Amino acid sequence: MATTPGALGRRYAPFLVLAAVQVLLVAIVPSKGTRVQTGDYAAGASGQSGVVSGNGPTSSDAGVVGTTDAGAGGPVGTAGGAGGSGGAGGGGTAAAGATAGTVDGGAAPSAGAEDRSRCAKNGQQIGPTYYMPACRPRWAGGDNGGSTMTGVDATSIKYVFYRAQGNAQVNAILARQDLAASAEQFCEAVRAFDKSINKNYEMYGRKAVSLDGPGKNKGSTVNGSDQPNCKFPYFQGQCSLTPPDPPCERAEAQVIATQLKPAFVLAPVADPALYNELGKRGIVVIGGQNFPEQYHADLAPYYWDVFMDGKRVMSHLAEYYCKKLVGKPVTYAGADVRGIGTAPKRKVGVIYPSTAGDPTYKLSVDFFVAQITGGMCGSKADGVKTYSYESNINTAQQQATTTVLALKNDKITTVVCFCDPIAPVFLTNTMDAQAYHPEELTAGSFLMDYDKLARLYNPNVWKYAFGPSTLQIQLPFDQSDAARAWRDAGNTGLPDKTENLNVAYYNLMASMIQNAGPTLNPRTIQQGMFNAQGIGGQPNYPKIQFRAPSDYTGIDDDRETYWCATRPSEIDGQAGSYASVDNGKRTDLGQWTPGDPRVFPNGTCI
Amino acid sequence: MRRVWTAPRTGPPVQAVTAAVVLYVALHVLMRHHQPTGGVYAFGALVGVLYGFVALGLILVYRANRIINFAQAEMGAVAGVLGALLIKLHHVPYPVAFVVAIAVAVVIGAVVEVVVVRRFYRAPRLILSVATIGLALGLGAIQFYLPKWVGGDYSVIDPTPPRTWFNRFEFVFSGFHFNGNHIVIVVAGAFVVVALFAFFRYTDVGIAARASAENADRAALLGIPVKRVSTVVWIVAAVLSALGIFLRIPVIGLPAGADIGLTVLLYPLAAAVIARMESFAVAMGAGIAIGVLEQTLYFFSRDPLVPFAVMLPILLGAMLAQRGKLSRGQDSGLSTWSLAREFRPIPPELRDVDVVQWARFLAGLAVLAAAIFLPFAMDLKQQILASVIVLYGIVGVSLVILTGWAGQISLGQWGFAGVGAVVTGGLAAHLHVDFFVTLVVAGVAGALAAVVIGLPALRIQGLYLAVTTLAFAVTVQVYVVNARYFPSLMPNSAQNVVRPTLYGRISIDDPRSYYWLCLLFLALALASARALRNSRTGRALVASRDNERGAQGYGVSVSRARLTAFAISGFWAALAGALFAYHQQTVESLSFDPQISLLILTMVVIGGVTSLPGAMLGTVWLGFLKYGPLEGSPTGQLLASGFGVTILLLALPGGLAQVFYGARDSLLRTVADRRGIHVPSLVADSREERIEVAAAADTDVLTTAAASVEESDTLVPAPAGTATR
Repeated sequence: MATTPGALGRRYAPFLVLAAVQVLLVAIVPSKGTRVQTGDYAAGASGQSGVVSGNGPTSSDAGVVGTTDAGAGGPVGTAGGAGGSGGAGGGGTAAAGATAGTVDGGAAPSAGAEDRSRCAKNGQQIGPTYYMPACRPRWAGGDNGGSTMTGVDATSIKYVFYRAQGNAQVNAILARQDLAASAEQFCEAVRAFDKSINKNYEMYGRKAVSLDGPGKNKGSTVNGSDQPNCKFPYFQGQCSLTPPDPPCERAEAQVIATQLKPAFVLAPVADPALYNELGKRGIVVIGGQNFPEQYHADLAPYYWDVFMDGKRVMSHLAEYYCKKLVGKPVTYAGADVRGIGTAPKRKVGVIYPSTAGDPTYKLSVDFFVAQITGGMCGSKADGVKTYSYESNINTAQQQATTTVLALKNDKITTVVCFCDPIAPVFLTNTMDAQAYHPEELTAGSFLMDYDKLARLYNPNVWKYAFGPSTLQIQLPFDQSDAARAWRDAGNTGLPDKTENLNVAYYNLMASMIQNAGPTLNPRTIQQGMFNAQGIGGQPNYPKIQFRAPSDYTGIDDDRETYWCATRPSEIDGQAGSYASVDNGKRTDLGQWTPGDPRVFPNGTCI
Repeated sequence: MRRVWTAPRTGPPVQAVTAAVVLYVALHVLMRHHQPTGGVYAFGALVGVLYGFVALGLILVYRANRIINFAQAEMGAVAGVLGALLIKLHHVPYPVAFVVAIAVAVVIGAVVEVVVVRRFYRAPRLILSVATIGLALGLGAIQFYLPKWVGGDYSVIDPTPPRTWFNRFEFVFSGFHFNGNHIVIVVAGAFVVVALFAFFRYTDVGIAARASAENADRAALLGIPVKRVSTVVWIVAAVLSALGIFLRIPVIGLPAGADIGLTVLLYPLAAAVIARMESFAVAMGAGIAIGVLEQTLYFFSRDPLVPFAVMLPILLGAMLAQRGKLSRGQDSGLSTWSLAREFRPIPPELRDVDVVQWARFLAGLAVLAAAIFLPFAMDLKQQILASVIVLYGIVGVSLVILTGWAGQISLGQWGFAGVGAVVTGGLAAHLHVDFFVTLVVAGVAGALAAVVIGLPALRIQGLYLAVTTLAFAVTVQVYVVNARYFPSLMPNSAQNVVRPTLYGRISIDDPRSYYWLCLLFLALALASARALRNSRTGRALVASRDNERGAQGYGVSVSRARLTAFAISGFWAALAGALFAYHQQTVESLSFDPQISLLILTMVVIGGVTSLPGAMLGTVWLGFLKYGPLEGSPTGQLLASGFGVTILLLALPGGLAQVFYGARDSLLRTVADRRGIHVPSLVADSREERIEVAAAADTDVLTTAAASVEESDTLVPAPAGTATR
């Protein structure tokens, strides 16, 4: 039975030879990928070749940009050329060039007789939203640079609206507040928004064109009987979000990037994998809601969002906490919590999702914890504990019980739910069942500060909710941006109640296009947005501004609010809304005033 | 003292009390600076009772059929949710809804047993276990539609636990608000344990069930209506599950999802394993202990992932502690768990016939061409995802080696892929190591991990190992593929696991090239597996699987053979994970869902677990189902993968390979007839088929037994529990 060395040698000789050859090949011609590190994306942005050196699909863009920009003006030509060289260093030169050429280049062709008929007296473009950008004279024709980036030519700017696959259970919960749109409603709305931005924004001789997804992603037809009358093109995602399916999301992102080749992707709701993949492939993508600042910075200048990034949300919250709450006794909780323990000071519990260890939300939460345990609060720091949960609708209820039990046992007096907007439905009901009514310090994240969503939460618990809110005092829905854009497109009636989210993304994309000037590319978009003045800062209009070097998300300021179950909402007149302190005055970072919160005046609503 | 500890009557309660005290002291010491209150322990115990209900059902079914019933929770969920919906939608009184739920559970249990389980009476236990995965998914889909059928929609699923008559009895214990519903769970738990004990101890049906569990054929020969007893057991299991679900609704709320989920099943499975799939009292006690552990560990860590991660060492410890305590009957049960139909190679008489050689060559060429040119018939997204399916295929090959040939059931094979991906992510994104080096290192890491997991398998196998591998897969997802614990290994959001240009010349950047690269590695995996099967090691593996003691008698080192299987299997699974990391160009925990492991196991069983071509057919089936016409329709996928799997296995217990090899053998028979070649193995088949038909047609006990005896002469796989005959 024993095998001789000779026999062994004969048996395995071919394998050994093969292995030896492979080792030799590895030594002589190694198979290594090109290094891509943080910052490479931004550095290579103008030409994009720095970004896509590992992936390839848009390497030709570098050349395109270089050529056309050269025609538009000297400085930008330098940018294109540098981008064309493909390296990270070259990209750095590109950034400088793009700054000079962006908006000026756009204004040049029409310098003689400017048509400013679309300019309002305040210098903004006239249009259906308060957030119209600084006015540009109507494009008088001429060379707009043609194909200045992927998805752009002389007459069109191609974009993709990515509609994530819904989840029946989640939609059912949202439907109770009329917050679940049908495919038909959604389609009609985005068709209107598309029409509205093309009508009102300066696109320098181009038109924003929505692309249909291929095959089963073909939004215009795939929803069949659910969408009988609207054939507007969009990308219907087929990937499960609950539970997430990253390979599928990345595959769809690749399809968008390499097959559809749009200039922009609007994806209000999707898994982080989608944004990551698109950003890495050099596509400008807008969406995500309160993702960490680092995610945007890592993929700069490709990944943008309307809403505040997670770090800024937590910065506001930390400042609010450190200036108004730290070191003080619990005031706004139920009697059951005010009586807990002997320590008079607050003890904060931060709840956040961490599905299978996904670090997305933890990054922002860690920042907050660092701030209120020494950083911003200094020596007055209160105790703080964090509680993660799995974002899984199937196990949500049991997890809620477990979490509430831990909160109670840890004698948490003040809960910060940096959660998805559905989690508090389970958490607050369980809290009430367990006779646990802590202070609910709102962060203004994930739309939990939207009146209609907050009505889903247990009123006995949510009546102790107060804190910063990123959203503004709501306007009646028929005066909202969604309704105005809807009417602007020639429709009657109103769109469905969820559309203020989608219209915000349309408006941001259109502003990016207008601010970038005719030479539209990621770098000019970046420069245009960073150079643009902030708009808003009024009670009904949050301040939206993007700033160098790493602010790629919109809303900057907060207002101070508290929940009032009896107060009618401005949105629909029904009871249950967030009341504002100081008439909804907006507060930017560093401007929160020290002193007690001015919530629940004279014990109202609590 | 030793006598008290080991005596059949006094041993279990003494051991249980000791375990509880040890657990309490351990938790007390561990959390001495942050003591959980009594409320945490009490709620944990309560949740544990609910785990216990599922564990009891698992044990019942295991004792009757020697399988893991993956549909245990779902069988009751349909009935329990129906009862709750009746209360919510139609305001049916609680007791009436309870009776309706139990009645529906009885029907579901009976239907499942008669329509599905009975049809798998003679099938390998692994096949039936996988069929229950299909059942679980199918019942999950029914649960999804239930609200509509009952007259509402999902909006009726209010997350607030409904109020019942028992809510009026409220009290506070150590800060936790309890009510009568909590007490009902505790009382029901105790009652069920006592009732089950009495049922199996004192009733005729219970005693018959125990006899059937010990040795079904011997019981049948003694006149016990084995199949009818099995029906009773499945009914009781379904009722237990419904009871658990129905009782949890007023406390924890209505399950909002369509399926209970694999990770939730891990705890009851662990409880059942700790109870050696035998003792109801121990299972309930273990369930309670696990519930307490889960709650206190969450309390301690405030991270729901930690209790999952802790399950692996607990299960490994439980496994190592149990060898030697298993009865002979159980041991035989374990050995028959993995028996699966073997497919013969082409008979030697026909192997050199020119037509056969040409047919083999052309068929191989056609398959190869189809695989190579497949991307040209696909859209871009399918091309991208086709690579993922091919990688699942490589993991499938690793499962054929481990489960099909070595007989070691793995429910967590995708976990090894996770290990490979993490290693690759670290080497490629941080250290920029050569592509091929990363693959080899990842493979070796996977092999090492598999050997560590496999070491306890030298002492104990079958179901126990299966549960451990499941715990391993969960641990990998929540702990290993997690930047929180391994920040230096995991690439961050800005880092790519960049696909290299091979040898500085060959780009693998576009989906098609990468698909072909994956295909090449699949071919290598298949070639390596085939070489292994034809080697002495391969024969030793199969011999050890079929007859461990016999193999040892022939001087085969079973330990070495099994560890080799684990190592090779782990190597290929991890290598697939490494290629997956390059495919995704990142490593993220969400991609390593343990559910994928079950999916791959289902895929391999559907194909034919002992056959490499079968595994490939299963891979094709999985690709079609996951990214084919049903993509984007979760309920459609749930139904197709659920009832679809069950129906397919009912029709083809040997999997798709059965069709493949059946067609091949018919062609071979034709060739043999035309050439006048006498091929005994092909002729023997017709006799075997006649016997199978006769056995299926006869319900008479004696006829069945006689057929069983005849079958043993024709080397048809033995039914459950017959290996000690």
